[in-house]
Amino acid sequence: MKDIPLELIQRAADKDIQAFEEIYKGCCGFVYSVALKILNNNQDAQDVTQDVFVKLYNSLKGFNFKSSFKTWLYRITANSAINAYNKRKRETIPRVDFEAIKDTLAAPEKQDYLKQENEKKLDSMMDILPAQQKACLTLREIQGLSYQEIARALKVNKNSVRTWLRRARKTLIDN
Amino acid sequence: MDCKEIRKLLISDYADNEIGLKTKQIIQGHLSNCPACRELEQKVASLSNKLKEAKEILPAEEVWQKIRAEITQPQEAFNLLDWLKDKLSLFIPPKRLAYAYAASAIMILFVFLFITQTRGNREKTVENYIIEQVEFMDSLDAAGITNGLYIEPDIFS
Repeated sequence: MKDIPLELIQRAADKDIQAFEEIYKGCCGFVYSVALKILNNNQDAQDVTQDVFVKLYNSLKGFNFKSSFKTWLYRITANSAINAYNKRKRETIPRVDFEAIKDTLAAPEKQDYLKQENEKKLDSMMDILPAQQKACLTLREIQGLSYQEIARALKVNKNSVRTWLRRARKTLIDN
Repeated sequence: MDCKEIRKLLISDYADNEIGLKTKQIIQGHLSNCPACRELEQKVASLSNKLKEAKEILPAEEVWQKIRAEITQPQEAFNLLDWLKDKLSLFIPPKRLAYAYAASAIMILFVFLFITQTRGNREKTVENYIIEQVEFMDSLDAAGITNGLYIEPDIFS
């Protein structure tokens, strides 16, 4: 995720749509990718992305400029995706179209085929993990957050982060 | 440290570089002598590489159009409950929010009952006091001590 200048956040907080679009362009890849990893469904991930940015726009006025914008966005994204995942689980609607979205991306070259197959395999394996474990693993491995940063984003203690990462990796390796 | 402890660290703190230099050296020493733990270390590293290879995917164009439409539409009348719900849902899952609402409703009920109960008791005490005073003045009047100066209050007539 790109660094967002404070001046841009300030302008967006003053309801400057162009400034907010710049923030969106800089962060939408992160929000959508994290949501997609947790939800494993394109439509749900798009809904979460929309929800996160609408919440973000409406809350920017109250943003404390001394705190980290990234940590704030990590928290809103992870919580929204986990809530959506839990809500979907309660509804028990079977939805798996992650592979479909992957297929709509640029057609793979032959040498990329194996890599994409591995990615698909990994995604379907990740789908068996609980939402918090997926969020931890995504924030750690893809975004490179430290235990402290993940703990702050998910509002849990460092030991929970450590335990979730350990369980997630164990499950993925054993499968 | 035995293999069990080492393996625990290999899939967390060691893999994530959240470990002190001394412990790291102990683990590396162990790895050079233990093929089973070395195999696990390689599996963790391979998993990590696969996850890191995942590219950041951008959402479809229409997502921004929907967001733009939503944030630029005229604001609806301000609703305190919806506003509170929206703010709280950023940090509290909806299920817990329901518990929070229930707990708040119970607390409000208790406070209401306490206030009405206390006010009722206070009114009762004042009423008893006035009755006592009236009876006392009546007795004085009957004994001729007040010389008929006592006038019965209107509220009891």
